[in-house]
Amino acid sequence: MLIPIEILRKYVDINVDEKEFVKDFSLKSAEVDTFNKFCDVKGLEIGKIIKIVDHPDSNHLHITTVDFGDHTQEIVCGAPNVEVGRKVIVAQLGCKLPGGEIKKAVIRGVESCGMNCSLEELGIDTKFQGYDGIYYLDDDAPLGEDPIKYMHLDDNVLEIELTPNRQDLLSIIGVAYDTKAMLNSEMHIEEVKYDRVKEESDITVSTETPKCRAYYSNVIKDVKIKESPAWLRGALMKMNIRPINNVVDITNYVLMVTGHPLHAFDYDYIKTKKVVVKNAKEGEIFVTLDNKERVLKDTDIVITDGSKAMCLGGVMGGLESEVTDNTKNIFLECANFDPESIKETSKRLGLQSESSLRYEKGINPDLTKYALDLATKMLIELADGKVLSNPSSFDNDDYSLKEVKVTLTQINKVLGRVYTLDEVKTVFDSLSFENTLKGEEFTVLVPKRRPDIDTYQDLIEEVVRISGLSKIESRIPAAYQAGGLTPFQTFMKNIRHTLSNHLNEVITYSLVNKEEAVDFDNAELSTIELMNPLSDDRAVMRHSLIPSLLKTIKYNNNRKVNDVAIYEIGRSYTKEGEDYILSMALTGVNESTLWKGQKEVVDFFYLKGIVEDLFDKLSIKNYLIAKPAQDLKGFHPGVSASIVLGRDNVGVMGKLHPDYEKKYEVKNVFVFEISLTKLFESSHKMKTVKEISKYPTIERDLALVMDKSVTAKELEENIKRAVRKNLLGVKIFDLYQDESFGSSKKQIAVSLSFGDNTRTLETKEVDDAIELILAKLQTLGIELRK
Amino acid sequence: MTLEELRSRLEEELKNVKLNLQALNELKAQYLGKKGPIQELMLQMKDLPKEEKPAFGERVNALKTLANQLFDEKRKELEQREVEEKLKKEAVDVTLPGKKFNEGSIHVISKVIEEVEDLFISMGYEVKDGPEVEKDEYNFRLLNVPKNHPARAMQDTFYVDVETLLRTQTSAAQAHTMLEYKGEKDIRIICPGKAYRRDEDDATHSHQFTQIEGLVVNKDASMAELKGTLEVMARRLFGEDRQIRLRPSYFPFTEPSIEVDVSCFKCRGKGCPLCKDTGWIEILGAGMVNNNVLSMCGYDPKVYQGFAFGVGVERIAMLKYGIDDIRSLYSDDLRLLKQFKL
Repeated sequence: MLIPIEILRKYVDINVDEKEFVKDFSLKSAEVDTFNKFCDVKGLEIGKIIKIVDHPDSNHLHITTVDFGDHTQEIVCGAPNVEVGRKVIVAQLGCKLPGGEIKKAVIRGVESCGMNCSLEELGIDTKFQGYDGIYYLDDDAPLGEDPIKYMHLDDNVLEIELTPNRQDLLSIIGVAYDTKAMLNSEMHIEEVKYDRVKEESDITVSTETPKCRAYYSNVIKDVKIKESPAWLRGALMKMNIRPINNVVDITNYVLMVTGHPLHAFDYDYIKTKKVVVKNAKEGEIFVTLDNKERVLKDTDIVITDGSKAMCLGGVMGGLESEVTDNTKNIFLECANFDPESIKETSKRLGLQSESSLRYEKGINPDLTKYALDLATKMLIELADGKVLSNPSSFDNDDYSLKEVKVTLTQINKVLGRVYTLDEVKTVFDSLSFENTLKGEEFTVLVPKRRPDIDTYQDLIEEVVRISGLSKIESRIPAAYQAGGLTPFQTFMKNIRHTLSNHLNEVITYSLVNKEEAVDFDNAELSTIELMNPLSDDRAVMRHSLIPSLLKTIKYNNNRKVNDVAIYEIGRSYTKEGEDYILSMALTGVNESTLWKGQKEVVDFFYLKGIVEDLFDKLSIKNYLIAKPAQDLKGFHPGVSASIVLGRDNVGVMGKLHPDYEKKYEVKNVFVFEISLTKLFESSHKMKTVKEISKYPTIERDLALVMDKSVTAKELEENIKRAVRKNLLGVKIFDLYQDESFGSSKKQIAVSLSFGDNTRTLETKEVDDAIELILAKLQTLGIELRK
Repeated sequence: MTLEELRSRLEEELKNVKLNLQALNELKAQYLGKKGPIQELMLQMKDLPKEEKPAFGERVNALKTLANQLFDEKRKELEQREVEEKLKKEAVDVTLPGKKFNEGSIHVISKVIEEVEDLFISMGYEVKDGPEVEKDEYNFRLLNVPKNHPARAMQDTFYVDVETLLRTQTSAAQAHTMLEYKGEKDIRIICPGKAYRRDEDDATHSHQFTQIEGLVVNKDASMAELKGTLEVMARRLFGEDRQIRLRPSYFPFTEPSIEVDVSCFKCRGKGCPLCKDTGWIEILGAGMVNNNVLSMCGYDPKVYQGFAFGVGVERIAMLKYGIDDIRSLYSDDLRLLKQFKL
């Protein structure tokens, strides 16, 4: 909402500096977006073109002679619309326009002093001019004077951002009420008086729908449709409304001042002498004044002449009954319609206007009659109209006032400050809220302009904002309970802090395209799709974080960052529910001492090491990283694994499948993803420490030859199965594949450690154990290397 | 060889600079071994007259002690020299780069969340979260935003079906908590998490963003306590000498509702482009919990009152670290990410 201060001052006294007022406004009423002079150009003068000659050396330039009352100047002008006798805005030498400073110039051999201006050249939106070329002022404009002052454009304009509850601030008068309250100053809404001619209005108004609550009208005859005076055009421009002609401009001006829409019909079009408000017929076709056919529904309100629709009530006028340059007589409507109905109609037809916006939010019915009178009076003054007597109207609106009570105790308790009864009363009085005080309880009669006030909490808000939010003093509440993270939240935080040592945390979008959403989903869960996505790329909720991580790798690769180690903690979203997941993606070199010739290129085991280390930090035990039962979607079938906890596959890891490398435009990427809720369930809390043995351990190394198909895991398990006692650990320290073992064989070297917590082991005991192990392994075809 | 000759020869030989530990041991064996000259002298003793024996023996023993002492000293000297040489050989150019690990980092959104969480936990808050694919009821209706409420237009919503949506605010989690606590327990929670709005992404809008909502419900939570709490938060995030100011605003779930500004941390209130010359920067919205919300969520507004606040994590991060495009928080450029440490 744009509020020209000069117009606001017509309705309320602003008894402080404007800058102070604006600051106060933001602290007590609504957020201030901007506060600027509408036009700040100095050095302009009103002139009159008295002579035009063609420029001798150009076929589009003219040399104009401009009269300023006390002298004339020759100005070269390129505008296509130059015309003798018209008054123009002249930028004199030294005038600083947005496009640059005006200097004496010789234009193709002719000296030019100044410039005839368009509004655009003054930095004013070109839409306000409505035609090409230089801007013409009206014939009354005083020569030699400042045109900006003449049009009242040197005014400061306050732009405020409105919250949906404050529709009262959609009018100058509404803003004036708040201004009065915050400045404790005086308002003046003068009574509007005008004379009527003897002739009586022959149009009767009635309604057949309860959706029209009140309808006031006037018939104004013999209007002269013409351009509005400069001040009115200026006023509209300041409120971002394009001036059209006096009748339209007056209804728009009154709309902005009162917040109440009006509609002007061509009186002579209403041949039936009847105006009947109705619900539209379902499927009825109506041509609105923008010359578009609209199909109506029976929830729309139409203003008819008894049978034909003339206007889509509160939303848009009709083409046929519109006021045109040829209109002589006007039927002026000021009515109050059901907000919900207007909202529905304007939304369905995509017809949102300053009028429908205000009807939707609810207008102030106290101003319905006032708005009609104000517009009528202006039509008399600015369009030479004659108002007929005895206009027809009806008013079924409910004018009873809402009563809301609030006690001082409630106010003090909610705000945490001790207010006095006087302070509170001052606020209500300043807002012109009628109120009575009994004991410590206020009963407030809420004026119609403030339908947002419903409960005592709403009144408390008025008290605190008008008396000043700065009066509230900070108090820190005493802690009465121990706060903290839940064990699961701590678990996730630990993951973040562990991984962030050498990986980079990323956060990516949950919404992805349909295909990516399921790319790495091996459980084949059902996808959540949006009804109203912004684009196909963000249309469904993801099952896996991996696609987004791959895209992040690509993004960084494209920026020449080739070594990437990232992770994300996020959620998977499927119709089966939401689950916290952790994903990692690595590629390139992540550890190196290059000058020593050492670098570790990421591979499956590098990733596995990170995973195992993380699980260790999180006290996850008893997990298996095993060859998956089936090929995993998106993974290299030979370089991938399932992470198994108990009987559940809770995660996956491995190298990206070449097809997916191609699809996501990445290379040699290793990824990991796991369900965190499941992982959390199997994390152990350490209770007591394990005793450390005082006795020495004995180590034995074995070089074992076996079939290539035997996995490291199988080897380890069988060794452990062979000797259950005193075997402390099995460590694989070498893998060797050589033709000398035959093409189907490999050699794995293991280091076994033995020990007992209560004594030193005898060599013989270890020898016996080794023998047992070898015997067991032999049954599997695993031999000690000869 | 006489004793004196022997002694001076030994001293001479020990001075030999080429001597190393091994040569020293050999030399020692040579002098003090069974066939060495000292032993030989001892053997000579039996041929001496009886009365000369004690004196001779004493002298030989003295020589032996001296020889041992000289060898010990020399060995120590040699050992030390050897250590020094070894150290000299092992010296490295300490300015060569160390082993390079990928420089890990925490996302700035997580960083801000953790900072805020730590602060509120210290003030006795619990941390709560709820589903992101949420029911209309929790996201809107229980928060005093019925269907057709104008506030719905403030938040363009992604819908999954008529009743299901992507939460537009983490306040949805508050309704869950209130219902969970059944109108009996005092509440002091913050709810950090993702939220979504149907906004086209640009420098200041993101269809996905992060919010931290706070909610306190008890018998005397007041606006003064709200202000105190927010002041602590603003100071923790933007510096201890910050001030805050409150402006009236509107949210359907709070009444009175306020918008909170922090004094500009760049110009310290003098006015600069960051604060658009006002000296103040808007950081969050807050207010006293609307009675409709309390009663719909099972708390009797005659007994309970509360305050709530919601802060945009991205906005805080952008203000704090001078990031000018919200999209850069989600494009995950490692050159930006790596700047944020724990």
